[in-house]
Amino acid sequence: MKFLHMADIHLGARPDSGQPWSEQRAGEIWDTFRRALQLAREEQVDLVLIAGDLFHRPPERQQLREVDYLLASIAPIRVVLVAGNHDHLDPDGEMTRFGWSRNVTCLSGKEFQTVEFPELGARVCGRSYYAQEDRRPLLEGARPGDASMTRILLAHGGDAKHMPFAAGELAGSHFDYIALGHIHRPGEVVPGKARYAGAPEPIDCADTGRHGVILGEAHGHLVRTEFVELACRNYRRAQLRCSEEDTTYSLLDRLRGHIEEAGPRDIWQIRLVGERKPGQSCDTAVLQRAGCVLEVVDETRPALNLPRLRQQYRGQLIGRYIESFADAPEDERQMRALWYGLEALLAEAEEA
Amino acid sequence: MIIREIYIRRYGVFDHYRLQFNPGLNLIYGENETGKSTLASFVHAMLFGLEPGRSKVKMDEYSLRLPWEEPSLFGGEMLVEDEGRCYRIRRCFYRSDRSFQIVDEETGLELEEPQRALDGWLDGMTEALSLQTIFIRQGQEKAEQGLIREMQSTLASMDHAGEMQVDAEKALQRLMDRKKAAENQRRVRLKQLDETIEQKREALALIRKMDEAELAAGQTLLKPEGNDGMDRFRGEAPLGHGPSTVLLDRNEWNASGSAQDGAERRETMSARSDHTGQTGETREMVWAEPVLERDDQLLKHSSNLLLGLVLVASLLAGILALMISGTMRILLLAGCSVGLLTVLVVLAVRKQTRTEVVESAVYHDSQKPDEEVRKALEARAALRRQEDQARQQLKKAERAARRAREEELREQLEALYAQRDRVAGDTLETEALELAAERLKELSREQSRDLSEPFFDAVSQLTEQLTKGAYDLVCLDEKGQVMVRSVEDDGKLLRLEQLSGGTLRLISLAIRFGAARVVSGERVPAVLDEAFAMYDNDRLAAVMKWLDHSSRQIILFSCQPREKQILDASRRNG
Repeated sequence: MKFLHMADIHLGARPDSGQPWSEQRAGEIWDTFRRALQLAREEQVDLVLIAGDLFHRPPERQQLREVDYLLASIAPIRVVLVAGNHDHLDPDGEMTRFGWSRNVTCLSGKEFQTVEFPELGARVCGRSYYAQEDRRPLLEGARPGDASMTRILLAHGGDAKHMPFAAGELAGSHFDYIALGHIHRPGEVVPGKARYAGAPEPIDCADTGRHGVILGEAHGHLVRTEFVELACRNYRRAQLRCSEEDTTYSLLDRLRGHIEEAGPRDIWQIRLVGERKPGQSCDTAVLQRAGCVLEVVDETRPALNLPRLRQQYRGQLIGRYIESFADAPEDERQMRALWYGLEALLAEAEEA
Repeated sequence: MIIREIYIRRYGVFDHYRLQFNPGLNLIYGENETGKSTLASFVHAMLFGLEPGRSKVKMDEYSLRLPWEEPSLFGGEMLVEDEGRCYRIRRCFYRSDRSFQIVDEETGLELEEPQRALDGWLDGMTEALSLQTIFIRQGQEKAEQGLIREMQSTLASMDHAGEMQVDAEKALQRLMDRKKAAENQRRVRLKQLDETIEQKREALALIRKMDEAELAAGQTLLKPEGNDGMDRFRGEAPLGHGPSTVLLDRNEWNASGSAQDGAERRETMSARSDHTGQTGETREMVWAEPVLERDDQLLKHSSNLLLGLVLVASLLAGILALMISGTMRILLLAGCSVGLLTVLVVLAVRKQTRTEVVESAVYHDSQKPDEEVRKALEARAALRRQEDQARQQLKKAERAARRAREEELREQLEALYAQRDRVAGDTLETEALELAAERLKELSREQSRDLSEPFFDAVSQLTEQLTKGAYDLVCLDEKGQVMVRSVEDDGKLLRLEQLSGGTLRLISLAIRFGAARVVSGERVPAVLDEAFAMYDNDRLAAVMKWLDHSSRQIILFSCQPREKQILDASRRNG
């Protein structure tokens, strides 16, 4: 039995609100979801598992109809989904009353529900959120059931406020595969048994790394999975090493070149490290024009040869200023105070 | 070192000009705009060089003195004597030449390391130090506060060796300016964020208002009604907002949470209407015309009576008309006709109205009318239900859009609040600048306190001489502030701010020359350009006397004859 496991799609989200690419990102989330379903078709999976947060917020009827259309289009592939903390159900809400297509099953109970697929030799157990938090342990009330089938748990959680669990508990459970959602970075909780699919399209700048879905294959109780990258773009972090000779525009040119080569579609967070000319600083707002740059943090230090300055100005105010910081803790405040004071003193010495 | 002679090839207004000096006090008198400052500048440039555009702060002497004609000759010579030997310093200041030589006058040989020789004669006196001590330019006269700052700055910049490297006060000012800029930047960013937050909150408030408006528009006043034996409650909605009435059964009424039966309360129409039109419901919901009230019933009975009277009268008139003849017969016949016609018209109108009431009453009384009429009525009811459903769907869609927008705004607000907290809490830059400033102040104070005793001895001695014994000590208190001891006030220590302007000028002069003395003794000539314009005669006399007895060569430029007059008088008096 082949399956595709995804979670945290967050349809309806508009990441990086206020940035020029925000609207486009909203569309890309839908595009990636469609490509995941396309992948399911191409790989001829039998079952698609959606482990919560399909929507960014409790959906309206129109959104449900759009998604239902997409899920129905991959029939006869079966789809099982649960609601997560973002798209939590409401007794009077649209998603609770929505009539999904025949190949789609929403495990919408507050308590665990199970759907069996005898033709696939699989049963899927899961429960949905009815509020933004659910502190009941993830495994509470979960029954693996019939051992002759591949037993899958579909769940959304993993921190104190959202169905907490311990990895050991999952490892010791009798489920053959635990399809998890909630954490946006893909990762294995129990090797070969419990995995976060991660968000197929990253939603937040903290969602660095690769993003996609899990393709799995079950033979009885033996399950193999692999991660398949699908995201349109990634959040990435990079360091740009500066020197005393650099200016804002020389850095802009270098950053542009790096982004064009390494990932022009990706969204970047840049750290400037190294040295800068004393008394001068880089205009980080200009550097944000280099591409989809979310943030530039300047961590450069003034190019000051402290031992040489200390020797040169020994016994004088500048030398004593450097010495006064010799025993200070190496925290950012102390370091910056040393640089700022030295820059001011050296500027005056130059003027004199 | 003694300056014996200067020869200007070209410098400012001077062209091939020679001037000689003596050891001791040299007083050069000249009217305004005769070039005294140019001469003073030339002496300074010959000793320390002249760089084009060296500092943004200081006046650009190079540009000021560069001759318009033959700029390649920009420079000159200075004959100096050191330890009995004469040397000729030659400089060209022009940027494309910048030659510098020192020739031994006796041998005619050029010194191999002219700068080294000059440094030796200057004995530690640097260009910067000279400007803060024994080279006083015209226009450097300051008001009291400026003098105080200058003195504090001079002291703060002195180190153990008395060498002056950097103006700590100015460095401190740079830090304060940078801190101000960082705080401004943070304030601006916070303001931008606050404005954006306010916009989002207003948008949220607008959504809430729209919700409230919808709620108010859909409200219903429900009254209990039980005249027909069924427990029903009627609601009347404002015109234009859906059906005019809706009847609910007792269960629904109870389910709506009423506090007591029969009480008037408000219900949301839209919520009620959600339950209409469902298949299998036996609830009797009717979209009916307004039912007549009791007063209307009374009116109806009265009109029936009147109609009956008219009919009877008409018939009697007709019968009488048959029994008589003549004009009266005609009149009676006419009256009968009018009466009958009136009755017929009224009955026809009533029939129309009655038909509508009967249609409404069909469901109300559970009668079974004719099949076709029933179907027509059902079709009309169904149409009305469809219309209502469509209206409800639209409102639902609008509400859904508002909910989605509200959710989005809340998320954005959350992110903005988090960002605002980060910016508000990010005081690292300011704290680091404050720490730097504190450290600098502390070190300056320590440095001032540590200044060598000879310096304060020299300054105190000069102060006593210049003030004719009125003040005999200059020192620093524990906070690094300059204090002056007043002999007349029983040795009381006074702060600079407590002194008169005249006394401040004398003490400032004492500090300048005291600093110079500590650094390089009395070797380097002092050049004073209009340095005593603000002095009163008494103080000027004390200064002139002191200068005349100084072992240092003094070159004093003045446009006022009084320096000479005082000097002459002082010398006459011995």
